[in-house]
Parts: sequence; C-alpha cells; structure tokens
Amino acid sequence: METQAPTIAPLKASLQAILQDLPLLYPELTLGLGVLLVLLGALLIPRSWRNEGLAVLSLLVIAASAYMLLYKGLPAEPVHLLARTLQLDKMAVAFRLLVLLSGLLAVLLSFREGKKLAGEYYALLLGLLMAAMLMSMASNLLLIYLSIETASICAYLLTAFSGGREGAEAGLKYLLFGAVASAIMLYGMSLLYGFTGTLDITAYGFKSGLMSLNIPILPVLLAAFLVLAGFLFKISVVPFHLWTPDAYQGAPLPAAALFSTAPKLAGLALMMRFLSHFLEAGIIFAGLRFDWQFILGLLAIITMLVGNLAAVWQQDARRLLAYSSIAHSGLLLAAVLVFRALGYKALLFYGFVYILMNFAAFLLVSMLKAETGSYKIADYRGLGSRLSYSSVLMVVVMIALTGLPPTAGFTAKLLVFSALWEGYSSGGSSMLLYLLLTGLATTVVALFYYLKIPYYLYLKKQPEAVVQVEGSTVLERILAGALALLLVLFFFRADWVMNWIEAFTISQ
Amino acid sequence: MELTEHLLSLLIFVPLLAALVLLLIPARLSGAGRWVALAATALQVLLAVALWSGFRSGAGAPAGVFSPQGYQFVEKLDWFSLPLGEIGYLSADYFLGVDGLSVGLVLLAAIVMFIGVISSWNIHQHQKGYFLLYLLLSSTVVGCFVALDLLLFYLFFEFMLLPMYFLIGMWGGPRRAYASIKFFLYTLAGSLFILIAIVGLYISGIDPVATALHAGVEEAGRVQVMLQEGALNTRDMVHTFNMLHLMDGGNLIPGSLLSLKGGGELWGHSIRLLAFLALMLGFAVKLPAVPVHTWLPDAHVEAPTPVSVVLAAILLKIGGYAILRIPYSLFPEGAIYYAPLVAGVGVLSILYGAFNALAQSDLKKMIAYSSVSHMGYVLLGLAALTVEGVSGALYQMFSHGLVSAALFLLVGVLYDRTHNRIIDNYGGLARRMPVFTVAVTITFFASLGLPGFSGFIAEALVFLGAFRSPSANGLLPYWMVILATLGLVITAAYYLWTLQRMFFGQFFVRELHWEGSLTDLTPREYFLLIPLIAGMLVMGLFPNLLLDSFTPAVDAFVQGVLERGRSNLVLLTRFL
Repeated sequence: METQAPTIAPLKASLQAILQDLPLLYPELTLGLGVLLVLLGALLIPRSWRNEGLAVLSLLVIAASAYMLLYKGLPAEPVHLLARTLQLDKMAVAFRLLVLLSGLLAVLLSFREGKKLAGEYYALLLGLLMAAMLMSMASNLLLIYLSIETASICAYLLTAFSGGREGAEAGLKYLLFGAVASAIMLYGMSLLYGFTGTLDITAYGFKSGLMSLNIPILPVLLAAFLVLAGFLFKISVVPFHLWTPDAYQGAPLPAAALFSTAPKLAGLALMMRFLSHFLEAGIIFAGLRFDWQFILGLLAIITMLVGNLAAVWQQDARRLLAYSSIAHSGLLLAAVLVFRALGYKALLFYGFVYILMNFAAFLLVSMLKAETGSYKIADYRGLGSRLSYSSVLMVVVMIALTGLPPTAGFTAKLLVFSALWEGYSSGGSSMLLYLLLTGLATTVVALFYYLKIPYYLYLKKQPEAVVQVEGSTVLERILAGALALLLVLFFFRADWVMNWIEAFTISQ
Repeated sequence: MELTEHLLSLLIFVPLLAALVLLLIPARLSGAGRWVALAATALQVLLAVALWSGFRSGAGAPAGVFSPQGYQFVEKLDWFSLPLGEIGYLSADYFLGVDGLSVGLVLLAAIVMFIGVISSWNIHQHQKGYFLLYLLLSSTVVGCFVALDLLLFYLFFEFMLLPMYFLIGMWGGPRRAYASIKFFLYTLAGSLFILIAIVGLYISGIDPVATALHAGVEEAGRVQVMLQEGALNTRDMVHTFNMLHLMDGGNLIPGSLLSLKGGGELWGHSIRLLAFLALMLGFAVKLPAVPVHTWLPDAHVEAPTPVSVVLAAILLKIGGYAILRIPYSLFPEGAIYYAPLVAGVGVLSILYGAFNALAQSDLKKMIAYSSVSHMGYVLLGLAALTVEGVSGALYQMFSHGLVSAALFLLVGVLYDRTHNRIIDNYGGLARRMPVFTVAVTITFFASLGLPGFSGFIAEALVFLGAFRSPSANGLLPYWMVILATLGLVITAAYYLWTLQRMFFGQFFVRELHWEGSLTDLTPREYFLLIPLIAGMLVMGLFPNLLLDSFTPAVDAFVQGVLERGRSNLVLLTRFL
C-alpha cells in the first residue's frame, strides 16, 4: 500500500480534475448518450413510426445539449479542460452553438429522407455533431486529430449510407481523400511534436519550442502547413475540395447540408485557434515574419474563384450547392484571415446566416425533388406558376446566397467586406484588399449561377408531361417559409444577431 | 399625426402595401390586380402632387444638398446599430428627405408609374405577378430618390433589379431571357463598385451626434474637434451611412483611407479619387454611359412597352440623380479633378449613341440608342459645374422622362398592331394613322430639341453651361463642347430621316395583312399620350415652372461642390 501511494495520488488527483471538468462537457456527453439512445431506439421503436420517433428523439437530444450548453456549460472565463486537451472560451461556445443549430436543422430535414434509411443514420448524425463540437474546442494535437477523425468517419458513413452505386462511389472517394488528408495532417503533427516535445498547442513549451533558433524555419512551416491541410480539407478549401461535389451528391440530402455547415464551421474554429497560437510564434521566427495572410489569402482567393466559376457549369442542384459552399468557404476563410475582432464577428455573423440560407436551399431542393422527382435544375422549368410558394422562397434564398439586399446574406457579406477593408486600412497586408476585390468580383459570377434556378422556375416554359411524385409536406413548407422569413428579418434587424454575437466575442 | 410628416414614407409604402394586398388576394380574383395597381399608383401621384405643392422653394426656403437643414419632409428613425467592438458601432438610419434636386423627380416617377399601369392594361398573362412586381418597382424607385442614408439607398437601388429582372424576363420579347440576365449582371457589377465605396465611407466616417452620446460629450461640434485631434476613443465612434454626415470632412476619421488629411493611397492614387471613380462607374452603368451601356438596347428591345417606359423614364434618372447626390456631393474634389473625363464620357455617349441610332433598323432600338445619347447631355452638363449646366442636366432628366415615355408608348402603339418594329417595313403611315403621325412628329421634335419643347430648354441650358465652363471655372476645354454640338445635328438627322421613311411618301407595309390592323390611336392611347405631350410643351414654353423648384438647390450644389472640391484638392495635391 505504501509503495503504491505515490502513483495513486496523482492519478486520483487527475481523475478528480476530470470529474470536475465534466459538467462543462455535458453538451457533448448528452450527444454521446443520444447516440446510444438512438441506437437502442432503432431496435425498440416499431417500424411503422421508427423514422419519426428517432427524429424526435434526436431533436430532444440536441435540445438537451443546447440547454446544457447555455445554462450549465458557460465558464466565467476561458478554462482548459481534461488535462489541457480542450480550451473552453467564448469562441468555443459560439461555434458549438452554431454546430447544434445546424444539427437541429439537419434533423428537421431528415423527416423525409430518413424514411429510406436505417435508424443508425441519426446516431451518425449525432456523432458527427459531437465530434464537430469537440473540434471547436480542441487545443491539443492529439484531440484535434481524434475529433477530426471522428467527424470524418461519421461523414464517410453518412455519405455511403443512402446505398446504391452513387452513394458508395461518393463515400469511397470521400474516404480516400479524407484518409490522405488525415495522414498528411498526422505527419505534420508528429513533426510539430518532434520540434516542441509537447502536443498542447497552448503550452509555453510549444511556443518556445517553435521559436527556438535551433530549428530552421522551413521544416516548421512545412509541418504547420501539413497540419493546416487537414483543417482545409474539412473546410473544403481549394485544392482540398475535390471530395465536396461528389459527397454532396451521393449523401442523403440532410447529411450533405450538414457537411456544408457543421464540420466546416468547426474546422474554421480549429484553424483560428491553431493560427492564433502559431501567429504569436510566427512573428519572431528567426527574425523573419512569415506572412500567413498572404499564403492562406491566396488559397482563399483561389477558392472563391474556383468555387464560383465551377458552379456556373453545374446541372445538378446538389452539385451547384456544393460548389457554392466551396465559394462561401473562401469568403469565410477571408474573414478568419483579418485576424481582428471585426473579422471574427463577421465570421460568426456569416456563419450563422450561412447555416440558415444553406439549409433553406437544401430543403427547397429536397421539396422540389419531391415534386418533380429530379435534382436537375433543367427539370425545374416552369414550376414557378405551379408551385408558387416554394418557388418564391427559392428566389429569396438564392438572392440571400448571392448576397443581395434585402436579405441577411447581404449583411453578412457587407460585414466581411467591412472587416477586410478595416483590416487593410489599419495597416494590414494588401492581401486583404485583394480578398475584398475578389469577393466583390465573384459576387457577379455568383449571381449568374444562383439566378439559374429562378431562371428555370420562371422564365422557362413547363414541359407537357408533369410528373408529380410525392409532394412536399406541411412541415417542410413551414420550415422553408420560416428560414426565408428569418433571412429577410435579419437584414432589417441585423442588430439582433449582432447582439447575440457580442455576447460571444473572444474574451482574452 | 400630421400626414405631411410622413409623406415620403407613404410614397414608399403605399405601393408596397398594395403589393401585399395583391399577394393575399386569391388567384381567381387576379383580374383585380390591375385595379389595385391603378389605385395605388393614383394615390402615389396624389401624394407626390401634395409633396410638390408643399415643397417650399425660393427666398428663405432651405436650399438643400449639403446640410440636414436644407431638406424638407425629413423623416429620421434609428434603423439599427451594430456593436462592432474595438471599432465602435455601425449605425444605419431610416432617413428620408427631399430637396430641390429630388422633389421633382419624385413627382415624375409617380406620374410615369401611373401611366405605366394604364399602358399595362392589356397584359393578361400572370396578371397578379406582373402587377405585384410592378408595385415593388414603384416603391423602390421612389425610395431611391428620397433616401438619405447610403444603406437605405443601396437597399432600394439593388432591390429594384429583382422586379425588373422578372418583368423583362417573363413578359418580354423573344430574347427576353438573355436581355434580363444581361441587365441584372451589368447593373449588379456596377453596384458592387458602389458597395465597395459605401463600405469604405462608413468605416471612415462617424455620426457626430450619436458619437457624442456614446462618448458622453455634450455637443456634436466638440466631437468633431476631438475626432480631428485624435482624442476620441475608437470604441465610442458610431460609424454611419448617413450621406449628409459623410459629406462633412470634419466627420471623417483622420488616418482612415477616405479621410481628407492623410487619406490612403493605392497604386499611387488617392483612394478618395478612386472611390469617386468607383461610384461614377457604378452609376454610369445605370445611366447608362458609353461604354457600359450595352445592356440598355437589349433590355429595351425585349421589355414589354410599359416596362420600357418605366426603364427609360425613371430608372435611368436614378443613375443621373445618384451621380449628383453621391459621388459629386461626397467627393467634390473628384468632380473637379475628373471633370474632363466625365464630360468626355458624356460627349462620347452623345455621339456614339446618336450614330448608333442613325444605323438602327429597329425603331425601338433606335429610341434606346437615342436614350444613351440624351443621357450623355446629363453628364456633359454636370461636368461643367456651372449653374446653367447642372440645371440643364436636371432639366434634361425631366424632359427625357416625358419624351422617352412617350416614344416608347408610340413604338408600343405600332407594335401592338403589327408585332413588327422594323423601320423599313413601313412607309407613308401618315395616310392611315394621321393622329399617330402627329403624336410621333411632336415627340420626335421635342426629343431633338426644337424650340418650344422641353428638350430645347434642356439642351440649350446644357450647352450654355458647358460653353461657360472654360471661362467660369476652367474645367472643360472648348473643343469638347464644340464636338458635342455635332450630336444635335445627328439627332436631328436620325429623327427626320425616320419620319420621312416611315410616315411620309407612298403608303407601304411589308405584309399585306398588317394593313387592316393599322388603325389610329384608341382612347386609351390618347389618354396616355396627351398628358405627356402637354408636359413637353408646358416644360418647353414655361421653363420657370420647373426651374424655380430646383434653382436654389442647384446654386447651393454648384457652389458647394466647387468650394469643397477645391479645398479638398489642395489637401490631396501629393497625389496629383
């Protein structure tokens, strides 16, 4: 007994520390518990209402998680959790809320699609949410890797879940690209660990290790880029975007909508956290200041160009939305690169509005699929007069995605542009100006392809034979109407959103 | 609650409410759409007349343009204020007001929108949708003329595109899809240049009154001093979209990219001058000026008659009006520095538009190009920065508003009968349609600037002003103005040649069956054309009726732009 005491005491202490931290992680734990409940429910709930039952169960789990987050999980000041593997600050809270919001909407969209799928679908959805939430607070290379990998595995499975050739092919493609990205990231992490001797990016040793003059700058930068590649893959920034269109096309529609929001925003949070620790170190690198804004800005510009230009040629609504989501990634990345408070606020505003408009777009595509049996934009021809409600909403959502008033999509773009201008005018790199100009120029391209949908809805004549497949449900109509209404409302009352964001400004 | 206190809001919201009513009425009553639209636009005309008659001008009345006290019927409410942390707040206002530059244009817009509804009477396809979009358009054009907050202006300016896109795209001619997309893309591309300037402006400028509140300073004047001394905390600054605050150099944050002292530079140019160019480019697309005019002929040719009327008579005026209100008033040094460029583009538009009109075989396209040419006079008059020149530019906008509306209605008359607009397919129409011929002749003469008609006054003023510019303020060279006079000759040429080919000589039509359908004007067409033609005559014979309303504002405008522009230019000399 006496000989063991010295080893038990620290173990006991760390166990106690972990137990103390747990209440702040109730939101994630709730989701984890939810995964188990859903799996159990899939076995117990009778087949006739299994899909509805599981969807409602998932909604309850997400609501419970959000409750835990808002009422139990807010630390007074930034804290490190679980032996410094997680960093819980206001930014983490904001991004976790955004992830939960997109999860909520994804489940609401699943009432139709879920019918064709097995019950495990909801379990994977919740698992993905949990992983994305962990991603937004991970501050330890190991946990960063684990959370990204968990999110990815859930995403691969979801992509292949709808079965059939298309799904399997997309899932496999996604898996192959993802595995390579993970391997690259892991290699970068191992290098960083080698340089610094710690996995904790918030630790002093990490910073001082990187700053030490013994290490040449090139390998350090290489290692950092290898790690960033893993994040950029999740955010689908060019050239790590190749999986996106296939995965969106192959996956069940609500899952695709979720891919375009939750992991992307979590990846952006991760990137901000990683870069903020790296930037401080980066300034002193052997007297050389490495210009992160320049190289990542270049990627953001390429992403905006490729995403927008490629979207012009798309015939399938899901692929169009996939490229549109790549294009939006470019602008979101630009907001991150401002590295100032206004950029961060603009990012949160954009992220919030982006969730609303992207889910609205996916929902409407799903409703039109139910009406026409097709995802092809050409098959929307002339629907404007027959399906006036969904068509009008579609116009609103497309205008929001383009970023025109009177929708919150405009306000979001305005704020990102403002952040870029403000960053540039307070002595920032001229890359910020180029990002701003690219953002403006690509808006014209964006209008061209987003307008394609209203163009087919209203300006083209309806074909003779009308296929009515199943029709949209009341729930879908209400949800789509509510989302579109919010998009307009938050243009006129942008201050409401901004006041919520104000509560989640980085407190450092 | 006084009605007059909310006159401008009513002008905007009456059509909007009518659109809402239309949205809610059941589909089987969609025939009521045109009556709702008629009632709403008629009410709008009444409100605009009330505005016009309640507007005070002359001695003792507010002159307008650069100070909040210069505006009448002002309405100002907080719209929103966004907390932006370390750079302070971003506030936008619901801020409306009219001065001499805008009050007449509101009246013009209301009248043309009303005429447009009557001219839309025989549109039967998707009636409800058509009138709904039309009413939205009506609300936004008025909004553009009365908004004094840049964000609010931009909202109206951009939101106008959507109804226009559908109006051309769904009810237009054979190539309507191409024309409507081209229209949308061109104008959007232009308005993004405007957006970037707006973003720069609000980040560079503050609202002294609201900032005083946040900073706990007693008076706004003190805030301006503190701002210039750098004694103001950035967290207290309230950034604003308010045009009138942004016109005051004292509200620009020192060191910001658009500030006067130590303003930013990009590629060796002053960012203020670049912002002026960006705004000018954006509005030049709308005006339109050569070489960004190419959307106009397509849009006009494909648009249904009423939409063409609204497009030519009002939408183009928004471009002209906005140039006065935004780039010229906010960046007056640009107005001086780039005067030859603006005038040059104007002269190019006059000549290029006129030569193109001469070459057209399609009557509607010819008139579209004549619009490009006539809008060139607006630019020339503005660039001169003399009272006559700017008055002429404004007068030209009114005159063209009436003349182009009448011209497109007249083309519509012919097109309704034969569905063909090719000039060479007709000859000697005077024998079959004498009244129509008289109307066309009068309108053509008004457009080419025959004395006694509105176009004459406008063009005379423009040239008077432009010729005075070299000696009065030295902005324009003589040769440019002389070159522009060539436009008058070509304009006369294409109108007279068209008259001769289509209306005089032997009666001739390409297809025999057209002959039966070529009847003279119907009562509805009389009703549409008579007020317009009367307007052209009244404006030509009694120019003071209109001139009096805007002369004080133009005086203040010209004086302000020249004074402020010259003193600003001194501050920017290092770039020049």
